[in-house]
Amino acid sequence: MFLSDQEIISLFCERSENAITELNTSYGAYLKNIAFHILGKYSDIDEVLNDTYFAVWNRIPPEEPKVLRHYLSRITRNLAFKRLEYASAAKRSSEGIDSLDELADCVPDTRENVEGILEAREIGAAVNRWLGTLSEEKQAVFVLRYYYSFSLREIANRMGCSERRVKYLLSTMRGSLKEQLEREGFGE
Amino acid sequence: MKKEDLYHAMAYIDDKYLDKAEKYRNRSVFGFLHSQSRKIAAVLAVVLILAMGTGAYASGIFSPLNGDDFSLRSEYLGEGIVAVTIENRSEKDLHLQPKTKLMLFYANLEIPARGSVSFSETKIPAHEIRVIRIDLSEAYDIAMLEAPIEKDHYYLILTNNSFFFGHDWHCSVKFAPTDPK
Repeated sequence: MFLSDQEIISLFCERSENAITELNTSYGAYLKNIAFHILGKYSDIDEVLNDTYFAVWNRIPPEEPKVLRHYLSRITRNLAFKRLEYASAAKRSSEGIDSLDELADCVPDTRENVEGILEAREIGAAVNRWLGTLSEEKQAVFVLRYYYSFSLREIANRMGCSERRVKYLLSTMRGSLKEQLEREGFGE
Repeated sequence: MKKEDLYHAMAYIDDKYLDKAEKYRNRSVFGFLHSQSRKIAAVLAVVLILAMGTGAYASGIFSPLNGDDFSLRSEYLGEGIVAVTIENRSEKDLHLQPKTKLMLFYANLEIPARGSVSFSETKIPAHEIRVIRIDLSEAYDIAMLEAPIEKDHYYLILTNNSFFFGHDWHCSVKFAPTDPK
């Protein structure tokens, strides 16, 4: 029996010890799947999951996520990405590293920003505006590759098309996103 | 801007786009079938016509092998090679395809292959036992497979018909690291 998202959030607000157990019951497999796609390595997944639960415990309250599923996926994705830096140093291969490398095609100007690190939120908003101009199929392909780090084969299987088409779509989308970011001044 | 900035920015992708992607994310074979429904309907129509034309032989053509007639057990030989012993107690020969899927049982994850898998042989005659050596070293990170995992285990899926349901066989495998001596 799964608790609803609101019931799980209430457990966190009450600081109940059952909160993490229920969270794991409802979302453990989903979050493991996300971490695995990014890391391509099973041994670190449990640590990423534990770090995710710890982060959620510290954030709720005061935060009250609108969609718990997406809220959790963002935390797990970020934590897995941090671990990926160690993995990259060890030259491990994973879909996370491959998709990260592909994103270099979208970067208008690779020089360091004079004001320091660009606000990820601002770039994210620009990406959302650009996504809004795409068809639902393209939106899904982009999100599956660069948010969930799915392989080309996995995306092709789910979209019902060939890997070649997925590769082509991603290539054209990266070019289009680069132009959008340049238009919005991120390359200056 | 660096590619890492863009990767971090992906965390701000709007919930509505994640929701749309979620529909496809949860799709597997059935999702693919759904999206290909017209093509599949056409293929089924052709198959139906052929089956009607060859009615006398249809049962022979379409009768699947019974999964209970086979037993599989594996032994890891090291360096990415798994020996799978298959006992065929059926009346029919089993012709495996030289491909496999490697899965994690509890996480229900397929480990993505990065190269090809090779089989020492693929035919298991009726009422015989064969030991098939499957070399996974080109397809997977063997060090990763040999690393200990908790609360889960790997299994291989073998097939004689592109992993269609009823045409696949599962076999647990433990990748214990080999002694360098």
